[in-house]
Amino acid sequence: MGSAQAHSIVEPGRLSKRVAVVLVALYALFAVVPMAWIVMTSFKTTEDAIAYPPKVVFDPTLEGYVHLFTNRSRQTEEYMQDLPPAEHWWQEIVREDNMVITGPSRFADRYLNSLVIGFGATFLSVFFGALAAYAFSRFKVPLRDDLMFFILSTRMFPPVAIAIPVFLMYRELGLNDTHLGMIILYTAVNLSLSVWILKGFMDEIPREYEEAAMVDGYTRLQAFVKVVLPQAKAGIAAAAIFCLIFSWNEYNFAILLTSGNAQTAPPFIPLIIGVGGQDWPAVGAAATLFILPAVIFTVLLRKYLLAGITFGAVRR
Amino acid sequence: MAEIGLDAITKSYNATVAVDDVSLRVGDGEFFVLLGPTGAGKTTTLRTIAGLEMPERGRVTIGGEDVTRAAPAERDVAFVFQQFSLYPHYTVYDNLAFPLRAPARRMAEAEIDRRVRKVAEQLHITPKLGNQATRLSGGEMQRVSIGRALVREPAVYLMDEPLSSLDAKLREGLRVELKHLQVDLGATILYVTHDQVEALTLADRIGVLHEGRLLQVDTPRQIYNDPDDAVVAYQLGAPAINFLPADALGLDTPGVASGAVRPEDVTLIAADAPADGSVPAVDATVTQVERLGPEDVAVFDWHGHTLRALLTPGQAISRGDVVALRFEPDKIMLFDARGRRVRRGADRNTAAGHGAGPMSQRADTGVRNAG
Repeated sequence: MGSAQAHSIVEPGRLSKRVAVVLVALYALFAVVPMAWIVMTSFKTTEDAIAYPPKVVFDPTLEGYVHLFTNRSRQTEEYMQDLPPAEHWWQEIVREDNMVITGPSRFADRYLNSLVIGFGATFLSVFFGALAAYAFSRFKVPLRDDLMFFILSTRMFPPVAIAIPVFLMYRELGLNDTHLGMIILYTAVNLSLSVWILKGFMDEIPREYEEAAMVDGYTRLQAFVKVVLPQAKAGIAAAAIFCLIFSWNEYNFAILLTSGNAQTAPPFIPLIIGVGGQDWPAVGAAATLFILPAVIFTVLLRKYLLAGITFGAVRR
Repeated sequence: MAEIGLDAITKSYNATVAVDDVSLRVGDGEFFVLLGPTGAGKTTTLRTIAGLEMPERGRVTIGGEDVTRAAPAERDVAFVFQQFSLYPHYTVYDNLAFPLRAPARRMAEAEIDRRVRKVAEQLHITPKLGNQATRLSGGEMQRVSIGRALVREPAVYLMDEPLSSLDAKLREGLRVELKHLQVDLGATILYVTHDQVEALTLADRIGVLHEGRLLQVDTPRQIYNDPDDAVVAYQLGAPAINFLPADALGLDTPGVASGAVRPEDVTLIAADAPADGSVPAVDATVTQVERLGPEDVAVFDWHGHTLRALLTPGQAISRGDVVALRFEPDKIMLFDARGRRVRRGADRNTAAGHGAGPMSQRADTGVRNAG
């Protein structure tokens, strides 16, 4: 431990590093506790879930998950005794509470809707965003700066501010409660972010790459696919994360514009509470399953996140 | 291989005219160098030939065919960029194969492999074929760039300062290799540079561009010895030619505004040497001596004018000394007020290399590395 250690102006000192680590750790704990609580709740029994003081150690059960995916009806003791032996483990879990499964719940459908709409809107946002960003980056677009600002300005008000016009428009067009309608809506909201993030990245890619390809016998579109897109993959990943997080979590439009066919998971989850008492484990199970795709997607692409936040300024 | 023709090409960006009415003919198998400072319009000229820019006026022909409106891919030209032309997401092999894999070419993979390996051999990069393009030294990258042009076997090669991002030693080595390659292949190359040494060593003919205008086209020797324009005289040679106002030189020829003398034509003479009428023998103060090894560059202040001289090494002069200089009388070039050359009757004869043609590749005078 030399006391004559050189002090760098750029590198933070050891003490400030430690303080930073402690602060980040505290924040991480603060952010993780609610999620951990939800995951724990999903594996509790209904009684454990509302026990006071709250239980941290408990016997895990899949009751919440079974409740989430099924519709059940309560039966008399006599009826239960006359039943043939349960064929599946989930039937047994339900029978302990004197209930039988009457059929699957709608959660799986809603979840599938969320996947289709969330990933569909993300794909389209990034696809159109990449094309627009490339055009803004490379071509002489008249009023480019004004158009870029206009695109950004669509994100300056909360999307739900235009809920009523959108609702009326969708009713006229027959897009209410359709997958297509929701995908178009989320794509429209996400495009501004996607264009801005991707333009930052496209600007950083030297034109020489495409020009070399074009001289070498490729068309501009072929050069775009072969050369520009692979170079922009960090930006594409970053834009995709942000677009997915928005369309995956979106609640207001979903509750306003969907009711059955195209309903996503977010407006459905609160409904679970009302079905047969306050079934917190089922809600916990729904929330746990719901955050899973977003977490996986983000963890897979997390190294591009910082680059995305800084609009491509910190590459590699 | 083919020839390149430019007919009265004009290209401007907004208000600035980048290329102003440039006409040029590059012969089949010729190594033509466009020389000029940054912003002279060299790159724009090159990009116009490649089809990356559309000229407002004028015509571009390659191999006699009008390609002014053709897409870059249709022109059969290869372009070597100054930098950034290797695809970082590909290996060296794939970079070399990239032009051959263009959908328009539809070349068999076996033929692609044959050509890639042949070019890798020529450029001594065979061991690097499997490397990622980003894991190469600067010199290797530029070799691959040149290789990517060579695999194509195109009609013409366009090179935009391909060596300028390399350090001096590498540049020198690659320059020699490039010239060998061009002679071996009989390739038509239009090469752009701001480095007069590259121009003088590589070119069969040099065209000097300045502010979008082509000032002079000639062989290296001719353009060095007999420039038509003050800008051309200044562009070639390092250290740069000395310009002096006519009256300082005692010139009273009508229409002559200045005289210029190359540093190698300035000699130190003994202070007590007899003055011989027409030759200005002057008293100059030494302000700096750069000892470069094979020669010394001395900078003098003479009545407020800065003069540079190339001297044999080991001159016993140092800063502050007052010495006498002599200019070779018939080596003083005369220019008018607009910078155009004013020729005395016998001037043309002093240019020994005139009309020697493309085969006189090296100008033996004044080839000194500025870098």
